[in-house]
Parts: sequence; C-alpha cells; structure tokens
Amino acid sequence: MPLDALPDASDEALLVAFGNGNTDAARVLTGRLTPRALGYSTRLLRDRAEAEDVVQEAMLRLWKIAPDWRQGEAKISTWLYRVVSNLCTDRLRRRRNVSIDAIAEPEDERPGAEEQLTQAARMKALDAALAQLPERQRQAVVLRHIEGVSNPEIAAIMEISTEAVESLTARGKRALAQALAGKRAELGYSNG
Amino acid sequence: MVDIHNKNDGGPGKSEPLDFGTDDFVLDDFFAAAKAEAPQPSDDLMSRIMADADAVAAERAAAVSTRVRTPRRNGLLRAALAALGGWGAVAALSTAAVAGVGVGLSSPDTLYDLSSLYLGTSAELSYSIEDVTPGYFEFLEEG
Repeated sequence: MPLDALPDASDEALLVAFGNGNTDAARVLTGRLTPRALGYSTRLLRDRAEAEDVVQEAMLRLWKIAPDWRQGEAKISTWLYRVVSNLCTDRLRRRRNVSIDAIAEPEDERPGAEEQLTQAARMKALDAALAQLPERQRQAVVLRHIEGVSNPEIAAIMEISTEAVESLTARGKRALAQALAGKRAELGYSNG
Repeated sequence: MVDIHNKNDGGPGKSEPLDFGTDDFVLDDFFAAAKAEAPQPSDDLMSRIMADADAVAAERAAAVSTRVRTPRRNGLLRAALAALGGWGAVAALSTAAVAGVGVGLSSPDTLYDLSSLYLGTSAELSYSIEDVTPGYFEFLEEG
C-alpha cells in the first residue's frame, strides 16, 4: 500500500497491511485507535497510568492477531473496545481484592465554593458519579454517551442484545442523574 | 453559583426548575463536558505502542525467514541430489546398481550365453532363470 494512501485506508486494510509487514500502517492505526481506547479505559479505571497500560496491552494484542484477522467479521474498533473492556474488568476485579486503603484517593472532585461550574468540574462530577455505577452499566453509558458508539456496536462489544444495551444505558442514566442531583449544592447549581 | 433555570427555557418568560432525575439534557451537558475533556494519549504512550508494533513485525519477519531457511539444514544431501539430477535420476541409478550386482553374481558362462543370445551369434542358445540366479531351483526345493 503506498504511503500516501494510508490515511484514507480503512482500519481493516491498515491492519492487513501491517500483517504483511507495513509498520507505517501500524502508525496510522495507532493514531486513529489509541485516543478512543484511552478515553474509554480512563473512564472505566479512573487511573491514567493503568488506563495507558491497558491500551498498550490491547494494541499489542491487535498487532499479534493482524496476520489472522478475518476481514468482514468484525470492526476493529469493536474488537478493540471489547479487549479494553475485558482488561479493565480484570483490573477492577484485582482492585477489589486489594485493601481499600491501598487505593489512592482521587483528587478532590468538588469545585471550590467560588469555582464556577466549568467543563472540567462537570467532567469530574460525572466521573465520580460513573464510578458509582455497576460495571456493565458504566461500560454501556460511557460507550453510548461519551464515546458515541451505536447501540448495535455496543451490543457486539459487550456480547449482549441491543435491548439489553438500551436497558443498561437507561438504568445507568437514571442512576447518574440521581447521583448528580445529590451533589447539586456541591456543583454550584442553584435550584431556587 | 450557576442558575440552571434558563437552560430549560421553553420560551420567553418561561423558567422552570430542572429535575436532575428526569431531564436528559442536564446529563447531556455533563456528557458533552466529558467529551471535550477526553484524555489525549501522551507521546510516550504512542512510542510504546509503536515500539510493540515494530517488535511484533520484526519477530514475524524473523519467523518467516527461519521457515524459508529450514530446508538448508540438509544442504549437503540437497546439493548431491541436485548434482545427480534429482530423485528421478537417483532412482534410475539405484536400479542400475542393483542390476550391476545381479550381473556380478551371475557366472561368466551365463554372461556369455546372454550376450550371445542378444548379439545373435548363437541361434541355439537360450537361457533360463537359473542362468541369472544361480541356485534358484535348489532354493525352491528347500522351501
């Protein structure tokens, strides 16, 4: 594949090219896939270093399966999100087995009394609320509403039905709304 | 403090309190903030991922070249075969060698009979299996 054709090539075509030894194709794929995988893993783990490790591991698995990739069976992004989900689940399970005192407290998520409700503050509040959700609900909500993945693709990633995805996201959003409502004062909203 | 009344603006003059529990658009506000603050991969992470890709590609190239080189382990045998003209030529040579052993085992008289018959120098001569395999009938009798 010529170098100037790489940016326009599909993810699949790039992976096949890498499987045939073209490392420039891997570079383009890395640029495309890493930000999405990192965003997703960071939301699930709330730990940047761990999220980066997960993405590196997921991408390494992608490089290894490149020669065996069967075109047309699944989207590469779907496959990658699934691997990232599984790796994050493993890490979250391991965390549960670690003493709660051993986990570093996240930074203070409450904006100061004078702080305006900036985007960053909202994001932190959302992150904290997301962390309270059951794992599957959190995955579905993040994929649907932050990563912008379609319901059928989420169903493929999570290996469940589209109806189950809809149910998870609906329940997740309800729980999020309740969690954020409880922090109304902390977030600097007035309701009067 | 942020007044969120106007976010649910249904028109001029209308201002109703928002319900965090039911108003999707408030959540959408938070989702939009999260999208805007999406973590960007560091150069270090990108380098680590590309280093992995390069290593996997190099490993695969090495494996392919090993597979290609494997037959060279029997290089001497292959060179001898090639010099002789391949397995077909070796089969022909083997047949000739076995025939040579057979001829060597036969007595000179037999050879004379055979060559005479072939060259037509003696029309009366003939040969039997005993001529080319001495002791054949004794072998049959002994079982």
